[in-house]
Amino acid sequence: MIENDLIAELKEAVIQGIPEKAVAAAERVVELQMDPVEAFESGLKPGISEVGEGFASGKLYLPDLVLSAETMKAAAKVLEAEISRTGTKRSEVGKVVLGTVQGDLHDIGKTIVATLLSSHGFDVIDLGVNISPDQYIEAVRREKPDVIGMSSLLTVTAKELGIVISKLKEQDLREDVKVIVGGGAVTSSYAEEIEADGYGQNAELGVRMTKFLLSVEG
Amino acid sequence: MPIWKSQDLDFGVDAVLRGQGAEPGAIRERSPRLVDLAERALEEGTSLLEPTTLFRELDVETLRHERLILDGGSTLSGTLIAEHLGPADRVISILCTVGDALEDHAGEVSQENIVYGLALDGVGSAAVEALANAACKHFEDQAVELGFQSSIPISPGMVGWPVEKGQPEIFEILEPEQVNVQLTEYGLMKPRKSLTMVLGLGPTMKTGGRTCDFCAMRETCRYQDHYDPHHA
Ligand code: B12
Repeated sequence: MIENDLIAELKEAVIQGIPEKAVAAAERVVELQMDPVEAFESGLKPGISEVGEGFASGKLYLPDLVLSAETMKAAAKVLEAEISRTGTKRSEVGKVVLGTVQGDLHDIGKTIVATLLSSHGFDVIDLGVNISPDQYIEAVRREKPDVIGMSSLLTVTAKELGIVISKLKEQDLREDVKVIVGGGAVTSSYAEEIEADGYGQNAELGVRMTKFLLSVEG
Repeated sequence: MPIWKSQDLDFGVDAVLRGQGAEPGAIRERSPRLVDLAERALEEGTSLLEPTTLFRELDVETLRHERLILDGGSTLSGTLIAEHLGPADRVISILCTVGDALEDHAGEVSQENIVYGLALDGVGSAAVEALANAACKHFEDQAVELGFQSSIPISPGMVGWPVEKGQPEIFEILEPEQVNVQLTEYGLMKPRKSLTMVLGLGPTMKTGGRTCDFCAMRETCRYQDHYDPHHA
């Protein structure tokens, strides 16, 4: 019974965006030697999914989503420490390299996508802003990600997205990674035009697209 | 080039929430934490603002094929310009910025605390919006006193005046390097929390309408009230 209550509390804390409450519940999970994977899968994950749903449908806003993602991350940290301590396994969802393209200095949209992806269990490498095509290529070689995500706020820097994709082709790396793009002025038709694999109009849709591309469930 | 020194910027917590893409009423109802953070960000962020408005008023020489030629030879061009500024006798080009101290701080904070970083970022957006609204109002009032009407503010990036065309045109007129605003080779302004616009002044201008009505994102943008001078 306590177990169910704690799992419900984890979910509720994520939905309400109260990190202290989520962390306290996660610590109780550990204390009671409950299955941390189960707490993650049945508590935190449905919580962030519900918030994502609310955001996608327009009921919730960006700060709500970001606060919930941070809450989830805080509790997940506690659970993950326990998961690695006990050697139980959580399914790997995938590795994503993210960055804002060359010439563009916008940080926050991309960082939010990174936060939400990692709250969904992705291993995220954030390259930062003003990332040149060569830096992306280098990161793909070094990190061997499943996906690279690129952000561009203005249409004037959006052409850089296409340049990176061409470079990936040139270097015979295009088949090794999925490419997803987003940011203020990027549209799905533009994403298609440059032959990206996916587009996310916002962070939630970006996460869904990433999951879809990697056939990750939930 | 004249610099308009603005008084205190008139914006509050609601504008900061809107600057983060949120609807203040809904946030107040369900998330006191986000309201607190916006309040804290407003208090901390205000001290980092360096509001500056650079402007230049030029007579219109002629309108030729959607190109407005101004006194001294500089031009503004495109369908939007022709439509709204075509009847103008004078054009005021305006650049507003709140500097980069706040955005640098917000960037640093975001590495550790993205929720608060987003709130600080929202302060910057709200501040430069408030500055632009105040500047436009100031110039509009001045125009009315002289018996002119003013067009709505027209900004590069609106439908019919692409950023890559409009920003170099405004930068040529204003030379904003003197207030430390740069246009990168990609057409991005540094500091980021900067805005440009032009106002057309004349005896009979097309008035009314909102800036958002001429935006490609008017159907989907969650920041609309924030962009709307009538609500700011
Ligand atoms: C707030 C805002 C401003 C603010 C702050 C700018 C800033 N970012 O610091 C101010 C008022 C300063 C401003 C100024 C300007 N702006 Co402005 N602005 C906006 C607005 C309303 C929101 C942008 C924002 O900050 N969003 C919040 C962040 C978190 O969102 P985001 O970066 O888009 O990220 C989200 C998604 O895009 C997505 N995402 C982002 N990256 C990635 C990556 C991947 C892989 C995925 C999957 C998803 C994804 O997830 C994120 C979270 O949901 C947009 C319109 C809109 N609704 O988007 C216009 C917009 C970006 N601005 C625009 C313009 C034109 C300008 C100006 C040129 C206007 C002018 N003439 O002065 C200037 C330029 C400023 C500069 N430095 O050069 C245009 C750009 C159009 C274009 N052709 O490029 C837009 C799209 C509005 C429009 N349609 O006219 N702006």
